Amino acid sequence: MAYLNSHRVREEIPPSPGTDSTGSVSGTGSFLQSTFCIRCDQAHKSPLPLFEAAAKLLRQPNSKRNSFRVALPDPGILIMRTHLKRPASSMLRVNSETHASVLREANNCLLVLDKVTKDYVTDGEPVRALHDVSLEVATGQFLVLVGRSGCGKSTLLNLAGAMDFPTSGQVLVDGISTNSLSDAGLTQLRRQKVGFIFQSFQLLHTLTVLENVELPLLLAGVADARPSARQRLEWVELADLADRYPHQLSGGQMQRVAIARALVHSPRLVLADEPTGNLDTTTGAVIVELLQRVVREQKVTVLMATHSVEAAALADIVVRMRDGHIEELVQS
Amino acid sequence: MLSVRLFYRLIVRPLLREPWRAALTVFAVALGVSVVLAIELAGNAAAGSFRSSLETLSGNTNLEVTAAGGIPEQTVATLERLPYPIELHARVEDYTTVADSAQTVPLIGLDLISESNNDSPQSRAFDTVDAENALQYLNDLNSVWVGSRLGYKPGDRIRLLVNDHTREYVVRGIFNDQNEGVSAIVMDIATAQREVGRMGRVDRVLLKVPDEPSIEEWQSRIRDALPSGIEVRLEGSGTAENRKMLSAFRWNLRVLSYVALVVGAFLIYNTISVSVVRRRPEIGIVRALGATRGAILLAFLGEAACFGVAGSLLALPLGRALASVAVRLLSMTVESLYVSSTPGSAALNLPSAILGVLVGIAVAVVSALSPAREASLVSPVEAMARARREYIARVHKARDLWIALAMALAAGLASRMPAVEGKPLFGYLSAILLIGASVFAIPAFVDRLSTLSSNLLGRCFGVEALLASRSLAGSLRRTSVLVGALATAIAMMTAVGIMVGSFRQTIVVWMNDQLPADLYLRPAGDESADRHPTMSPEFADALAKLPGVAAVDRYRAYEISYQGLPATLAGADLQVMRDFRSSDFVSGRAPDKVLDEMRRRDAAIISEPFSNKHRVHAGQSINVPLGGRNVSLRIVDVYYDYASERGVIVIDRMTLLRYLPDPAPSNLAVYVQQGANVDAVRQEIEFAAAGRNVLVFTDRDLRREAIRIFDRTFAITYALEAVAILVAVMGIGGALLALVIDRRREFGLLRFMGAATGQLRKIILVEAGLLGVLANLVGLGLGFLLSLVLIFVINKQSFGWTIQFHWPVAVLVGALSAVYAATVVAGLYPARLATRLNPIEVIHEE
Ligand SMILES: Nc1ncnc2c1ncn2[C@@H]1O[C@H](COP(=O)(O)OP(=O)(O)OP(=O)(O)O)[C@@H](O)[C@H]1O
Ligand SMILES: [Mg+2]
Repeated sequence: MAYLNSHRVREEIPPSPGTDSTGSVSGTGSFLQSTFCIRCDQAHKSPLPLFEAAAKLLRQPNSKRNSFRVALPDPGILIMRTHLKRPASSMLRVNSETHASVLREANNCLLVLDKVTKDYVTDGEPVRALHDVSLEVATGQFLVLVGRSGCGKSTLLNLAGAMDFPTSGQVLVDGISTNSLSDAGLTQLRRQKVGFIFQSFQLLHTLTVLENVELPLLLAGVADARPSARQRLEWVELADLADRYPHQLSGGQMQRVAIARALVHSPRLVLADEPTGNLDTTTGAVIVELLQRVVREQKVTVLMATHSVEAAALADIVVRMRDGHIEELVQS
Repeated sequence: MLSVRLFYRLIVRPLLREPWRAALTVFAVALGVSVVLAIELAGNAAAGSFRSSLETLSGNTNLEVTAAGGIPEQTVATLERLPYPIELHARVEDYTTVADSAQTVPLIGLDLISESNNDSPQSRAFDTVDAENALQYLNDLNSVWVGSRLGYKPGDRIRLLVNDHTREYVVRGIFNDQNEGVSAIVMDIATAQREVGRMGRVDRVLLKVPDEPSIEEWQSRIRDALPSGIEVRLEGSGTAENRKMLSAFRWNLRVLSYVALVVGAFLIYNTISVSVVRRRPEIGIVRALGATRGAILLAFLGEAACFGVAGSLLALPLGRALASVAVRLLSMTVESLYVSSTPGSAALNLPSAILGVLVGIAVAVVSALSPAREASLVSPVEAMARARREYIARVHKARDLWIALAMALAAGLASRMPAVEGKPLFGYLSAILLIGASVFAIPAFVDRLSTLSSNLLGRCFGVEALLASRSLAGSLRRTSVLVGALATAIAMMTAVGIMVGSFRQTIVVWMNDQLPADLYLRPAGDESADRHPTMSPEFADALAKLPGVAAVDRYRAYEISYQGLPATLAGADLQVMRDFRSSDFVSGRAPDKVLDEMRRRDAAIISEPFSNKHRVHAGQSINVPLGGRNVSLRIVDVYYDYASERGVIVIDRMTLLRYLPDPAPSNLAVYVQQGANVDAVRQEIEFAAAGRNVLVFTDRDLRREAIRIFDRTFAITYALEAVAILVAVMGIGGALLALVIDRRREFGLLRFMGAATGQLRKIILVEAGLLGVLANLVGLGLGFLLSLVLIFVINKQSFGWTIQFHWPVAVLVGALSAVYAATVVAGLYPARLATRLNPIEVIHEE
């Protein structure tokens, strides 16, 4: 992105009167500088909220910048390049937090996909799994992805879960652009914000139920994971099976354990890829209701890919996909 | 056709997909086989087919006449006068060192006058160049004939060290070397007698008797004509005796060399098991499509055979290369402990190559039998199973524990059994049973330990340790096999380490008692267990008169043959002999009493190996041919002796002189007067020894030298252990690689759950580390038990030594830490692989 009119701006930007604004912040980091793009999606396209967001960013105590440049290629977009005194890698986490706090005030979008395209390369041939997909999901929404096999549902979930990067476009999870993060950053993001549920349960058969539930906390280095894990197990009504091994459970029970595991670290986003695919209709319905409760009681955003029509009926938003793009978005 | 396609689909394709793991397995087999091959080749070469170097220039004779201490010339005359058509070659045999090249070669004294009458091509080699000078040459006591390989020309001067003196000789002629690789120096027998100090005696008479009647008949006819102490035996009996003497040594070495192969067998077992477990769905499919049980069995045995063939073929050049290193080590050992013999070259011969390949294939196929059978029992229904079933190995822990117990008991019983024909067969059986017992006990042990420790590990080393230990317990069978392989290698290393360490310590303690004199003298030249060069008796007398010298102990050794085995007969000065302490005797009696019983009588003390080899004990009598007489010696006591594995008979020097009146000593021990300065006395001695080639040692020198020889001797055992460990560690590496591939879905899942790549790496490394710890624990325990079998059964029965148990702590700690580190290092590449997996791809794989 080339920028025109580049100004030098001093840090003492006067805080502007509170304007209600929504937008996004994205950034890329290199060794001594990082570039942020602040976007305002509001109709009036005033640069003021952009400057306000930029100022907040700069006022963070940890960000020791000595100079920065700003460009306004469009009244709704502000591009800012800062020069950092410290290497970017240690800064980026701080920056991400900063964006998040900035955006959370301005916008309550938990997940934003902005013109996302994803290509896979198989045998030298590029395969386009997602094509120019844009999507915003607010906190506390239950969104269901439907569509034929191969239409890109799992791909979308993987991008949303910071498991992979888009080929172009950006994915913002809780205001943090996955493009700006290193592998360690992505891991950190997953540890804090994302929980996964799979079609084939994916419990570790060498661990007990309780240990399976603890796992995300343990991997994140939380010392005393047991109480939270028990609490989640109680929540999915499996507390009495805590010491069993996965192979001693039914499919439905396993999936409930998997849900408890996906929630144990209090993520803001839960991604479920065909969680009912291996279950009979009745059990599947129980699982979907449980996910619904998750959204309601825990204020968590759930994205679920499914082939089940009944499940889709319970969602806040149904996104119908076809050949890698969004065909229809139905808000109930 | 079907079976070929089956083989391709089930075996070849999966192997090609994982070339690294296949290569590791092949290389492990290759190492195992090559070690066996190397020891076989080197063993043959090092002992030079166990022919004593003195067998050179013996022509096509068929009987030989010998006697302890030499054959009196009258006896030779008796032989010559026998009314039979026999050809007769009297010989003086000894060794000499060529002063310029420091090479020790046989010195053979032949009766050149009578040889020139014989018409053999060999005799003709010693024809004097021009007959006119013949008499002069023979009269000049400085004529020698030299083997062509030594590189001299007629007319050259050559300086030779014989016993304790060096003289210059003139090369009168060159002859073609016989006996592979050995060059000799020939003198006229009269010259030789004078030079080696054997006036009036010869060492051996070789006979060629006619074919009719039988050779046994001739043997008894000639024996009847000779006095009782003279032995008539088949020519080359010495070789047979040497071979017999060395057989225990070679046996034990051979057994050790198979350890790496046994470890390799574990790994083949594991590789095939992994193949079977992984390809269960495919096996189900081909079974459903009509493949028979037998075809499946054959396919997997075929896989093992492929590993066997590839490994063995690779092992041929590898073994050949290892052999040339081993041969140098071995020949030094053989020389210093057993017999002078020139190493041949470690050439790869067809029989050894075939043996190597067959052993490789056999081991591979046998170790694959059980997993291949399991594969053949997979039912076609498994093809229909929707998701790949987590394979839970059927391990019968409780039953296995009982088997282990039974085997351990049997091992205990076997260790109490006596040797079979000098070979500790039951000792080996006991060792094998112990290894078997531990292999069967490992699953229960691993299960117990990992269950007990996994939570603790999780708490101390984080969730990665918890996952690693759970995974090990989860695939119990695989873990057990790996632990078994590494533990066996570690156990052998520990056992041999303890045995060698104990042996070394025993020798150190023994030598502290054993060398009470202040200075020791022997003729210069290389040392070898069967060479006993002498010093002039006047020199010994002169020493005793030197100021500061309290006493001189003369020791004379002869090479004899006792009941078909080489032995050493020695005479020691009992007047001054203070060499013994009560702790030196097996009976624990006071040395004064023991020595009193020997004084001037036909009585002897024998070394512990002699007692064990020939099963003779204090109170019994032995018949020893001495100076043309058969002498019955009463055994007064048995003494500990770690200097030589060959048996030793010690009698009073006065007794010895009665039968063999040669006063020249082979060794002297000098006691310095109290208060005298040892260094000053040493200088006096060196001054007195001017003109003689005598070496003077302090007790400390001798101890150091003995330990140096000892360490050199056991270097090869350490090398063998190291190879076994290497094979095991390679196996661990390969198995971890397989484990990463098999558990890739789990690793993918962990990434979804927020695991960093570093955490995956840590899981693999912790797993490698845990395998290392388990194997070290089992290996140490098993190694301790094996060391008991080695020390108190196998060693005792093979070599006849009593060894005091001793923990070589530093060596063990060093070796075990090195093994542990190697195990963890073996996890590095698999760990890297785990971090490079794409989680999205692997999590959706079936
Ligand atoms: N790792 C990959 N490499 C190559 N192509 C891939 C890969 N993953 C997915 N694809 C392709 O991308 C497209 C979208 O795949 P995706 O898994 O997202 O579909 P899906 O909607 O989840 O289908 P289903 O309902 O069967 O799960 C498909 O055409 C698929 O073949
Ligand atoms: Mg999918």
